[in-house]
Amino acid sequence: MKVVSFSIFKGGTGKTTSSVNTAAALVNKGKKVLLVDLDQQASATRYLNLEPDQSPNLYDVFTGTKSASLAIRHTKYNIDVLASHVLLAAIEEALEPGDEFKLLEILNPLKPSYDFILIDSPPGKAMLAFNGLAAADLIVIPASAERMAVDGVADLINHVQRIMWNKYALTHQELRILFTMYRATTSHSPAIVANARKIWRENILTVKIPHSTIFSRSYDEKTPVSILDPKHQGAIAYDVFADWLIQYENT
Amino acid sequence: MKAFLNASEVAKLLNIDRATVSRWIKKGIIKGAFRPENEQQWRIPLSSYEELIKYHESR
Repeated sequence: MKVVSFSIFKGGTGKTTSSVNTAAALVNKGKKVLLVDLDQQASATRYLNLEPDQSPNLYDVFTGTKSASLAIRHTKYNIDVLASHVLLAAIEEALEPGDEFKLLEILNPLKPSYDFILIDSPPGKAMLAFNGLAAADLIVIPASAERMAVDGVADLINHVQRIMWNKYALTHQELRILFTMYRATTSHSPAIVANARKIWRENILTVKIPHSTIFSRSYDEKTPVSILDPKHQGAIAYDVFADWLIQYENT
Repeated sequence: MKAFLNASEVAKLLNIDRATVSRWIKKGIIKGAFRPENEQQWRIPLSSYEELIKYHESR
């Protein structure tokens, strides 16, 4: 059982796309998966065709009106979801320094029921994002293969290693970088990855998610790529990543 | 985790002025808010904020 957090403070590099499509790929392989949508924009919730203004959701869980196990919503893709809600913004305001482990406390009783819990973290340096990091066994940093995102990776790694690991006993945590929006036919994307590999070496996953409009279509049709077009390069990439996660879980 | 938000936090969340929040408290639009003795700040329960957001969105 592993908790995997998709986190980077920068926005728009593929946190939601990666968490939803990884969840779908893991379910295809017979794994029990819970997806936690920590982002108040509720993109992952919408992606899986759930209404973001309905109960139960994570707001109810954080305020204690519902227990986590009763707040889980089931989707037709067999992915279980702790859904987001606009009111999560109020939780962000209400969380105080020292509340970094709220989410971990919420997830702990659910762990025996799942093989993987995937967290779609919000962008930005704020309390909910820190909760997403603190709850994780494995932090996957989705980075688009461009300079700006690589700076974002450095920022997140610094934060985790220098602040979180210093402050809390989180030394079991591991970090991996997943390159997204990769354009193999350009010289830019491979150069960015080659440079990043000099710094972070084996922490960079060999599988790269290709740049493709299939992901926009997938979100638009509220269907993960593995169901929309299982033979598509993008679907295969997440399938390979899911295999890596399963192998990682077993070691 | 805080059980209450203050006026400026609510104002920030709704993208309105803090004075509007105070006015809404006095008008009774925001329910359950109170100000403890010798304190400057309003305490607005999270549950009141829930109702308030419905009111704000319906306007």
